[in-house]
Amino acid sequence: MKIEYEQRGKYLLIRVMGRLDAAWAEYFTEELFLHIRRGQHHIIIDASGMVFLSSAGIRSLLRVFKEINTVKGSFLIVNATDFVEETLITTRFEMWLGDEFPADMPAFSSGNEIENSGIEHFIFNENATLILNGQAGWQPWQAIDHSQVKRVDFSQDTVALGIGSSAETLNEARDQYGEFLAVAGNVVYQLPDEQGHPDYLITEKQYVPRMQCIQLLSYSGEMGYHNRFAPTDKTLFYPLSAILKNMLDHVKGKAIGFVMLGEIEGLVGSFLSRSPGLLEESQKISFPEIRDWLSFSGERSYRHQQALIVGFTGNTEDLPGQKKLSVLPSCPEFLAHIHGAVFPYQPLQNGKIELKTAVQKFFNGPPPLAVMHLVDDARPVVGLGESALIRGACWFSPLQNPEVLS
Amino acid sequence: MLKIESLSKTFHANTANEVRALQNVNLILENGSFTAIIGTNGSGKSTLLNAVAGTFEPDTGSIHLENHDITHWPEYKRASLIGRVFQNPFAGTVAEMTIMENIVIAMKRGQRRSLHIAVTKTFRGEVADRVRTLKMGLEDRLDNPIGTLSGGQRQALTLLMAAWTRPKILLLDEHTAALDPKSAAKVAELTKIIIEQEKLTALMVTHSMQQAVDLPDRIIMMHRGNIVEDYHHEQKQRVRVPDLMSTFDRVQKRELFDESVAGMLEEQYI
Repeated sequence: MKIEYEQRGKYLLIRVMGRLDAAWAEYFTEELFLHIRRGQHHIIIDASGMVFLSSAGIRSLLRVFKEINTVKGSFLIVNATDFVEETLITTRFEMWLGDEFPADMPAFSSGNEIENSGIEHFIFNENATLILNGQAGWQPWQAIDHSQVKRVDFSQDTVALGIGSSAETLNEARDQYGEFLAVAGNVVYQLPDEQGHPDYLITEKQYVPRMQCIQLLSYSGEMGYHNRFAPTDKTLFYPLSAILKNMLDHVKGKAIGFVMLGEIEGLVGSFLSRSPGLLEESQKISFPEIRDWLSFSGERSYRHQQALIVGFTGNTEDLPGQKKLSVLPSCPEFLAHIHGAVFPYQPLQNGKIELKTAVQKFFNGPPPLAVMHLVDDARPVVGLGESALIRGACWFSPLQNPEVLS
Repeated sequence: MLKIESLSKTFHANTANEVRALQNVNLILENGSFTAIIGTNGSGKSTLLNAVAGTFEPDTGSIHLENHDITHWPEYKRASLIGRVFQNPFAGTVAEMTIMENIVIAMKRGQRRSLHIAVTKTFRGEVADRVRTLKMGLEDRLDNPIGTLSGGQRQALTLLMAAWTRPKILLLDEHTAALDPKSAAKVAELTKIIIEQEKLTALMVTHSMQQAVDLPDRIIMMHRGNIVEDYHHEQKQRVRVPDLMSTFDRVQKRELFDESVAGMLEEQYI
């Protein structure tokens, strides 16, 4: 099999020559999935050179078609040979067949527009703000005071991060406090057991996810701004600080709450491996005992999976005396508190996308792989650096009452 | 029951090549339990097995098997209580001797031997019946030299011989690692059947996560001479290969968590 690619405006024209059968189906699928991952969501297959199409080949086309559908793209097979056309009609996939190229497809190659898109900025409502609410302020390594545990329902309009447990009672929660984040009525949380499997809760009819929180930063309100970012010839991925800086520039440096979704270049973070509820008394936990309480990613992890990131950030000078955000060592003018959840990769639709719809897709898909508190590892020589994303989207708005963070 | 208490062994002590192979290991294996030991290279899993077998004497600690303190017993003396299957299918049998002769010798392991006819007609029938359970057609080849068998056939026979006298403990040292995948699967299946049928206590070293999940009823994970995980009872029932992989990952990441990481997290984990 030989595959040739040509960019025609928003369309990727793919000339397939040879047999699309069991021997080539997996290779063909992987090739096309890679292009979908790179943002090519309008695919035209020129099948004039496709001499054979088996059931395995049809299955491969179907997988590509389904993947394209999830990102509201388009998929068309043109110039099919008689055999391919007859096979697709017989198997009831004639809807893929087209008599001619789409009218808006240029006649000649137009270069790789998708790969060079860089950062796009959209404004939903430039007056939108977020209101910080429902704080809980556990700090390492305080013994848990039950009176300070906040029981919180995470409705559709709340975004939050913190440390909590899904247990109903405080006694049950004692050994289950771990990092979590909540977006659009969904909560994903890390269980601090030895295996570290994350779990998640989804709003369903009358049910609203509820957590017992020892640490909580949450806000509600409207996301007024939306950024999309994709690699360019010069920028292969975006460190978190670069994304944060770009967002802060759009709101003139005001402290913001944000949500990001993006393909991971590498995440660096830490999560609880033992619940703080098990602390007998407040104490300073140092090395090596700290290793019994916290796990560290140890490498730039989860490359090419998808991250759902929730956080708060602002300029150091605008947030004096606050205790809930820490300075980013590689960008000391910023303070941030960021949690990230990792989901198996699913492509995101191009262009402007709605936060709730985009997030829901991940909670309705395969289960999450991890939740962690993201850190900026700027240790000399051995530091892993900061987390980075390859492509994705972010939604953000200024905080109306950032003083609550203090 | 096998009881290992505070067992430590350091090779090449006080030299640049010092290896602390076992560090204060404690382990109890109940009668009839089947335990797998997994771990990275150099984690101490084979050293632990060899300590039980008596290949060397530990620096400190004790090993009790049934009611015997075997800590200082030589290897040959332990042979009456212990059955072993090695990684090399050609170890543990004599290639030039027939299948029958190898089995006779295995049956006399750890016993006094005398001059009398070892292979009677009745005994031959018993052997054929047992070998038939392997479903390899070897019962018709009892007079063939064992060296003419394939690695998988030879390892299956070695397993059968090791279990024949119902040892107090059966030690399996990566006994499928040198076999082709099909033979390895067959020997693994036989291992489970024989141990269950004979109600043996068994300790198996393996690099195969899938085998560790499928065969035994307990998994212990070793790292740098320590037991770092013990999957037993309900925990063992729900453990899957990805869980073991993530535990390996976690154990190795813990090594990367040094004082500088702790300092960094003190600033940023708030």
